Amino acid sequence: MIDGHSASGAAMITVCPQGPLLLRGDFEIVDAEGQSIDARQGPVAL
Amino acid sequence: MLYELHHRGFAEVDDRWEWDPGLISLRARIEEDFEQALRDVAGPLPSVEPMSSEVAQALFELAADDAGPSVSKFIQRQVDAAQAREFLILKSIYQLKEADPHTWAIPKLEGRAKAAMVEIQADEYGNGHLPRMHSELFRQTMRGLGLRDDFGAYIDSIPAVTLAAVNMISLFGMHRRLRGAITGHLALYEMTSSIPQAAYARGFRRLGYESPVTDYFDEHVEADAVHEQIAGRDLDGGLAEDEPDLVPDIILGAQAAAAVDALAGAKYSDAWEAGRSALHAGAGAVV
Repeated sequence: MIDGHSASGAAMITVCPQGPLLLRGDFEIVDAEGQSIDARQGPVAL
Repeated sequence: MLYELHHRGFAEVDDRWEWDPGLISLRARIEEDFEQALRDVAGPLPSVEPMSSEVAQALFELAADDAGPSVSKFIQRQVDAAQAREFLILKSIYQLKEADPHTWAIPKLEGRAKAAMVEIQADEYGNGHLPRMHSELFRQTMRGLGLRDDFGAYIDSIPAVTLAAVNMISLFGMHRRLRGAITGHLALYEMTSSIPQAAYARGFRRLGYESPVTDYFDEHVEADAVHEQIAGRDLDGGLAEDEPDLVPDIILGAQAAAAVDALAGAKYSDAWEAGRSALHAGAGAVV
């Protein structure tokens, strides 16, 4: 998939060469205790 | 002022002046000299293969080589309260309408490049949520330091090089023939943003400011780490593959952005290091 987007809205990770992982779609980021981290809206770079 | 007629206009100026043939003709004559000056300051353009990976790499290397004086280090380590207010005033001439002049490019693009531009710009506009719109976050930061947050309030205090940096975006964004340059400009801006924004946040926290004043900077640390990838690979890379002839203009936009920002940064740093105001002389005390 060239544009890194999922047609279903499910989470999609784009691996950027020598760069971060771009996370798009429906996802939740949690800390080590499983608590949800308030991530910004829109794509996130990991 | 001529470009501003195409954006927010002026309270006491008839909006019909926007398309007055005389003003358009005047603007064209000024733009001819301005564009040549930008090409001169941008310098020679390296040859880059019209492939997404090659264009992205060239832009990332250009951003990494950005050797301008580090305003961000000054803000982080030395800025005082009055200089912090000046810094916001200087930024306000763009940040209070952040993203708008780049948005001119969207209808001029197609396919992968257009989708990438829309994704970046939607994020800049808070994905439709007013409190998250970057210009609104900046407005919040200005209010936190007791500054006016209405666009243009400090126009008389803005030095020419700062106005040139903003006018450059309008020039590139409003002319279809320069659509490569506006995408290269945006990529360079995104690629040189995350680390400085983190430094700005640390500087303002050192002065005792916290959220919501620092939200603008914190948001950009995260957002621009995303945007720089989308801009380099999909916006500029996609455009280069769709329209290979535009590659030199993509590089021109990035190099011009870097060069003009370096000139502006040098002006600010030199003034602050010497204990002087970085604002336009003669505007009177505004901070």
